[in-house]
Amino acid sequence: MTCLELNIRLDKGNFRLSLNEIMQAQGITVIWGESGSGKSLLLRSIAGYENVIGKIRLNDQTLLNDRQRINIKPFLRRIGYVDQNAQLFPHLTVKQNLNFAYKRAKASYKQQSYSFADVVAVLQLEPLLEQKPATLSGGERQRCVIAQSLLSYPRLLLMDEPLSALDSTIKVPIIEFLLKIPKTFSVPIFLVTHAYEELLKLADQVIVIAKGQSLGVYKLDEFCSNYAQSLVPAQQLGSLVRGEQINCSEYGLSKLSCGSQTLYIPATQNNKKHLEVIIYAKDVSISLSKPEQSSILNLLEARIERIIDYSNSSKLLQLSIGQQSLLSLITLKSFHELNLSLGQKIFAQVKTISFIR
Amino acid sequence: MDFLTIDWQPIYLSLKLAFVSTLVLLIIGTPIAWKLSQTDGWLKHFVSTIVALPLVLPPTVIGFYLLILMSPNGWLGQFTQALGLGSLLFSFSGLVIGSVIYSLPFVVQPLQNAFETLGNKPLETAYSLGAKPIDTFFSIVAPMCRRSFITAAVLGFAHTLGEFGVILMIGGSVPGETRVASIAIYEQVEMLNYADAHKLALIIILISIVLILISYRFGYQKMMVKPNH
Repeated sequence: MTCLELNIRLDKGNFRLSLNEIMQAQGITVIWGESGSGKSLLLRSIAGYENVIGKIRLNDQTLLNDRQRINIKPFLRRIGYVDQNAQLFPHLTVKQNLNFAYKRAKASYKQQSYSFADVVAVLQLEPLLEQKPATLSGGERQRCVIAQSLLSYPRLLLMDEPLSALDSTIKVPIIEFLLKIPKTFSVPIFLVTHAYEELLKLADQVIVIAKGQSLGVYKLDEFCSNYAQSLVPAQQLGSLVRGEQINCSEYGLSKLSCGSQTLYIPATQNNKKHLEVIIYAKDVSISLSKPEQSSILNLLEARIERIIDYSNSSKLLQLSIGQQSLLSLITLKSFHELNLSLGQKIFAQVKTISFIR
Repeated sequence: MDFLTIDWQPIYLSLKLAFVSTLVLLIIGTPIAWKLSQTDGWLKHFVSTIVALPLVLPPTVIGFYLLILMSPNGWLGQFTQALGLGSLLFSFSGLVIGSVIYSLPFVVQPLQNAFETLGNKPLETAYSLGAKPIDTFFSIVAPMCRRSFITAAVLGFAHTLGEFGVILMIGGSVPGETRVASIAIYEQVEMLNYADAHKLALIIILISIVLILISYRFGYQKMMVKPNH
């Protein structure tokens, strides 16, 4: 477990980044916020590229403490940094690029963890090693850049919108690679994105930034179901449901067993046992009786746990389905017509399962 | 052949002066260009101005002040005498100092442009991969800017070859020591010895053409980044 302690301030023109947060970095931490909120500046501050004042600690090492005049130089921080148009060094081949990082890393780091060959294998770079960067496609180059960064044996990998410069077809495989990295190489990732779908696919936790300030660190399920602070717009409000995949592929569907209930989900390529799905609140509707003859497959017995006045035309219902909970966003009109009340048993109809991870 | 009966010494001396000066220029011009590319604000513009001055000043002005500095009463003259080196005036070493000042902008400006065009990104990448600044300079910046180094070297060399006013002021015309081609041509013309002046001038023209050709052929920065397909 990597612990990152930030208490920093950075003034750039009229903009001020001011952050005080202690984060347990494990897996992928997504830095989320509108453009101009200071996400990239935060990453650059951690990397040591900006003139920040305050304190930064990574595990038990102080990277920055202006009072004690400590400011570890970027090249001594052991923090990887990949930005959106990351380039390899154009005068070196892919292999030389990887070696640039590898031969500068201490032997002791190399022995403790993965090898050069491991990284090449996981990121499937073998056929590219002798090529020059100019001949690579966008996706290939991004894989090489990630590999290069991993071979410097970073304690933390910072990525500034690593997917934004890629075509949507290339994004999917790169996302798969990104998901593998924290587990395979035990390197936690901090990743900036402003695409909600990428966040849902990648994030284990989310740090929300607005106007240069932190609105807190949330687990993914806390984040996407966070109605109280309206961190996400109504359309994107959702719940994360965990379950075990049961192998059955009838009609191109799989089953997900969540406690006492079962969800049908589109068949997945991966054979992971534990899956998480994200169901948008707008995709969950309520029925008082069990609907017969409906095209909607996913019908869950649920109980109304909480009723939230979401806006002047809608209510948000927090439903309990076994041990887990599900959000449903319905209109105020439906709410009154169905005469819903707390503790009532109802059927939740799930129109779409939006994300499987 | 009649053509080869000329005195080659001024040509040889000019080339030697240009070569030594270029070497010194690269050694001191590179860090100046680097520092200028990395700083901003008043200091940058002040230093840039000083470096660019030889572009606009009459060579005689530079030569005049150098003459005063290097004279036995000038502080540079006193300094070299205290070191037991004697006077720099009318010596090859003095010419090298003059040439370096005179040609400095021709070396600093292409390098500074190249470093600024390169931007901070490759540096930040190299740092994040654990490369220290000096290491980064030699393994990333220098190879990525190699064409500009060629341009800078050729321009510095060619410009020193064409130097006249500064040398006239501080070097005079000591055969084998300060009598470079440009001075020799001037003297031949003064003595109405046009045939020898022609020969020397022609050789200088040829050398210059070759140099500028080299700079155009190898010196321009080819776009190294191809667009994604």
